[in-house]
Amino acid sequence: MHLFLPIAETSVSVPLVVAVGGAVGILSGLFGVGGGWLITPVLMFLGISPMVAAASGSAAIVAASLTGTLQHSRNGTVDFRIGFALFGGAVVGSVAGVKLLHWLNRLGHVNTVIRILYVVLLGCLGTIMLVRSIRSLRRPATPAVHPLRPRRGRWIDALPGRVAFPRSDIEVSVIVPVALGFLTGSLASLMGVGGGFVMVPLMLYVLRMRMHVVAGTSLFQILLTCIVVTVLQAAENHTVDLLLALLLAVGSAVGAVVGARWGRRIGGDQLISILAIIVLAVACKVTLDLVHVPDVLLSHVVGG
Amino acid sequence: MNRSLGGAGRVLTVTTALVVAGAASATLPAAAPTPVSVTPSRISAGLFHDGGTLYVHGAVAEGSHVAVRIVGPTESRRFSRRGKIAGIIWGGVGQVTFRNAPSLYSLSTSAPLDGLAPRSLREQLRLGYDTFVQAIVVEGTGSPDRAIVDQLIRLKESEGLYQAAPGTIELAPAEGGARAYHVALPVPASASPGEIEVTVLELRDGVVVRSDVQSVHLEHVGIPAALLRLARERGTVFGLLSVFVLLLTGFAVELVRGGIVAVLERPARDVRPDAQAGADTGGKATGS
Repeated sequence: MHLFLPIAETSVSVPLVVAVGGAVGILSGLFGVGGGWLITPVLMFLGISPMVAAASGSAAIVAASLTGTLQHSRNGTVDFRIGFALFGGAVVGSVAGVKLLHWLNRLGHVNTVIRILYVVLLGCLGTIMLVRSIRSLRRPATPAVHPLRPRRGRWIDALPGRVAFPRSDIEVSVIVPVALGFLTGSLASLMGVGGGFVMVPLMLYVLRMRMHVVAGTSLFQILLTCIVVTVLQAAENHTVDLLLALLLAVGSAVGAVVGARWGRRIGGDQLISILAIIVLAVACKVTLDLVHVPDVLLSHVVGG
Repeated sequence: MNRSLGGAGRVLTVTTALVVAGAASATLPAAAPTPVSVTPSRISAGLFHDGGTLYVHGAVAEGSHVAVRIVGPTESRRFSRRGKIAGIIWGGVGQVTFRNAPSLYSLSTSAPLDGLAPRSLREQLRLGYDTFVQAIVVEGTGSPDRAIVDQLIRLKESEGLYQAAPGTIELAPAEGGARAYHVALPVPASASPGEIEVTVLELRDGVVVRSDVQSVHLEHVGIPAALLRLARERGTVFGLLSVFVLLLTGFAVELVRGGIVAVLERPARDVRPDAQAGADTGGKATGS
């Protein structure tokens, strides 16, 4: 069965796209990451234009991140206060990202820039994850060390406008979450990712939030960011394909349930090694697409 | 596939017996020509549209050849030009706009083009890529126009929007002085909406002895048409609608997920009391 996608200007196999969403959902459930970083490149491999893939990918994350936020909210593990502070920066970052995308599209560079960003981001992320997981697998088991070891004299602590976020158990300048929000907002616009894989380490190591609120708050911030990005992409670039996003959202939601169940049976370090290999494989494929001599020296310009 | 065979009134059948040369007409068989059939007359691109196929049936006089040409509405489209950047990667190096290029072009014939008609007639009838590339206006390119138009043709061919297949129509053995033909021509899902002109030409000794032009209407209908219109005309409203629909999907998925998890975990819950009972009895099976 095929579905006609009017914005992507093509038809796609429904089982195939739902399977892509499902595979992304399984990874998301297994590893606790959003999966947006995988949706965009896989859609590009299927022949969807990078701009439509990125915009529709971030739209699909709206549904996926809502389900995650609802679950965490029920458990009381979402810090809404800092989530809104992050969102403040994300709005500005999203606007900047969408405007940059629009400008790059007019110049004809957008597809290249999106691909290069993916190579850099996935290459770095995959390498770091692989190195860390190999090290941990080689080492004998040691007692878990809490990542929030107090360290005095950070320049971040000297910034003005300090605000207390009791649920996260931190007091930090409001500039910091706003700046981090800006970063994820830009990434969401440019790459169609929620930014969880960037936001979670930043929350742990820069904001030093309590471990148990990090995942829920990250999902809440991703939800708000992707809502803004979806509206902006639709208004500015006309590249959100709602039907494509719906197929992906349904597939990934089902996959996430399956992935979460599988995840309980596999060790953490093994999981990270597998994820690192997948991330690096995607980075390699995007790199090959960039360096390989194309069959045709023209590509479509969509939206705008 | 969502095709409609209705709308017969929209079919513009212009059967014109072109007697180009008196000598040619004198060689025509006396039998009445078989009418050309093009179906469907309308292609509706709805939610489950996956492209369509145009079926052309007819017959030509013994000794004649047939050419079936399909031309979609002309369009003006921007493309990104790809070139080598920093000597390593292939990426966008600018934009180029093509004006007056057919959005869809397909040509099938029963003989090689050279044997079908002289070049001047082929150009007049737009038989082959070479015959219409001159009309395409190219804007914003640094390279020679013809080279970049060739790239456009390669791109369109890779998408199934352009096709040139001379000599691929098989004529049936002669029957009553006529040879039948059946042609199936794909119209990809990405074809632009509008009137698709289907021209069937009967050629003999390098001249057209009969031509038949029919029009097939391709249109976006239903949900895709409504979404496309809204996305293009009211982008912000479309974005808000998308968010609303996706949030609803998220809520629905959460409800369903809750149900699935409950079902999946039920066996574990059902087993637990027995396991607990086993543990309470020192791990011994209690029997049943």
